[in-house]
Amino acid sequence: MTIPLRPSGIPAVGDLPWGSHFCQFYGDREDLVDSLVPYFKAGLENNEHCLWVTSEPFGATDARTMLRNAVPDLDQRMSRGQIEIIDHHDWYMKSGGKSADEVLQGWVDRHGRALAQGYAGLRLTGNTYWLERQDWSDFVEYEARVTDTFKSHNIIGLCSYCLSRCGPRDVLDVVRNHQFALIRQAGEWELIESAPLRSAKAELHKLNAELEQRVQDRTAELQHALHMREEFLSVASHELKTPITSLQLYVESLLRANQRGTLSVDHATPKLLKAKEQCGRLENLINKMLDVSRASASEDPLPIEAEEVDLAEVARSVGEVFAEGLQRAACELRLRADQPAVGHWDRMRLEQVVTNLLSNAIKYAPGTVVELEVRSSEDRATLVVRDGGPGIPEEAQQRVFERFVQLSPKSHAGGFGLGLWIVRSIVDAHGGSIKLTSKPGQGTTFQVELPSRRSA
Amino acid sequence: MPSHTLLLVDDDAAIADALSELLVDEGYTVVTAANGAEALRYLRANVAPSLILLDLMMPVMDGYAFREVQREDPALSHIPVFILSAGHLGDRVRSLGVAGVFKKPLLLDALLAAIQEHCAPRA
Repeated sequence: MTIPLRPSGIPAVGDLPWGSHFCQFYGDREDLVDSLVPYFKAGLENNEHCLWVTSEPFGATDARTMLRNAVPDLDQRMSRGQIEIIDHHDWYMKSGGKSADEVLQGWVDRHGRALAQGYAGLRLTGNTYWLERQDWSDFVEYEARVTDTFKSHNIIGLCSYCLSRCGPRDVLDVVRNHQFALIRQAGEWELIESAPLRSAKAELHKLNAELEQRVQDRTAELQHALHMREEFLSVASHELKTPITSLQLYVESLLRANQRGTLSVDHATPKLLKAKEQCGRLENLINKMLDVSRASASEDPLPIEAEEVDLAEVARSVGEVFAEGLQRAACELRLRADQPAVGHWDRMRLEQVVTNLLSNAIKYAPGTVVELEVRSSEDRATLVVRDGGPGIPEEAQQRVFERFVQLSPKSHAGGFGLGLWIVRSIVDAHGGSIKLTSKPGQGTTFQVELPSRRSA
Repeated sequence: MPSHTLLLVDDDAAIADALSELLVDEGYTVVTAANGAEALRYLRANVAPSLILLDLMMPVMDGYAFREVQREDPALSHIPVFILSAGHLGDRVRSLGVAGVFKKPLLLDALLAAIQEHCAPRA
């Protein structure tokens, strides 16, 4: 939301919101001409109803002449009633003796009439030249209430104070009761802000900057999430279509052989076995996706079905399953898991952890030595998977545990980019921790620590 | 009459296996390569195949990079290429200037008919 601003007409002031109540200290007629003529010109040109109570030594006739120079159609505007220029003598006759309440209500009524007549609001200048010393304290109190009254209306008020008639204390009183003050120094108007306004502005600046930063951060987060989602969808669709394609080809091939009359058991059996393998591949992919959507649908950790499990035994059996894959990737597996490492864990989930870490090593570090080690101490077990691959650059090491992150999607290594995210979710659900140490060119080590028994 | 040779370039072992068996059943000779680099090695050492069936997303050298090299090489640029891809087939695929584009999973009848058509002149 932006607050609509009104041009003040005074370059040192710039634009103002409705409700502004400020003052000026003037020395001579020149000061008044120089500020009030452009102030009212801006009001007239922006469809505001204007009230100018002039100040000595700048009378009403003089004011009309000076304003007419700046606003050629001033007389039409005056006869339409857009602007009233009243000599301070006459104004004093009209408003002198009225209470502060009556004067304030007068402004509000005038504002209401201006709006009813189709004006955007009310622009006025008051003057205090007529003010006698004995009325000063009442007037100071009145000015304080003006700020509050104007705040909720389309009113802009500029109060002119003759500097030579104000003592130092008076200047302080006046500045305190206006949002800011204008004073001419060495021929230039200068703005003096009251302390509350200055701090309010500073606070606003700070809030704006914070808000801006938050919007930027949030936008970047959303863009990142959107990008990840697109990346994931494209990878997921590719990953799912690949086993479907081979499955379909095996089935088509059987159908065609059948049509040709060349289908035999010898011919069909290996194809059916391969088709079955592709079904398993598809099932794995779908399970992975379900795990992810289940885990991301709730804040709860993955459900764990804990039982007595020997992590060393789990590592050995997964290592066996991987024998063929390791061979294909020309990886040598060094298994060190001779001592039992028993704890209260979910066996299936731990198999998944070892599987994902091993398949990552095969995928990203083919042709290297892969070490798989299980150690146990009194109250926990440690699983280490170390490869001799290209390593993970430091800036990416946190990212690898995020969902759908593949450090090198362009290398088409395959998979969803979910493996390490699932590993971390499982480790978290067991109350454990996972640590990654890697240096480019020096391989990668994942170290998982699991408490033997989850503390409730 | 020697049968037509097709070079099938796909990193997915199951797809390569299933499709080459099926094409062999259809009477073609099939040579497989697991990525663009392997395919180039084969092409530079052997008689040109009648057609190249090219996957896009592959490690080491993907289909786009392969096609770039192939188009630059006067000895290879004349060999027609069919793209077989499970990915999104957008402008980038159209810019490859290939003889055919087929989505995975494959519409087999259409693919076989197109292969046959491309091999017909020599048949």
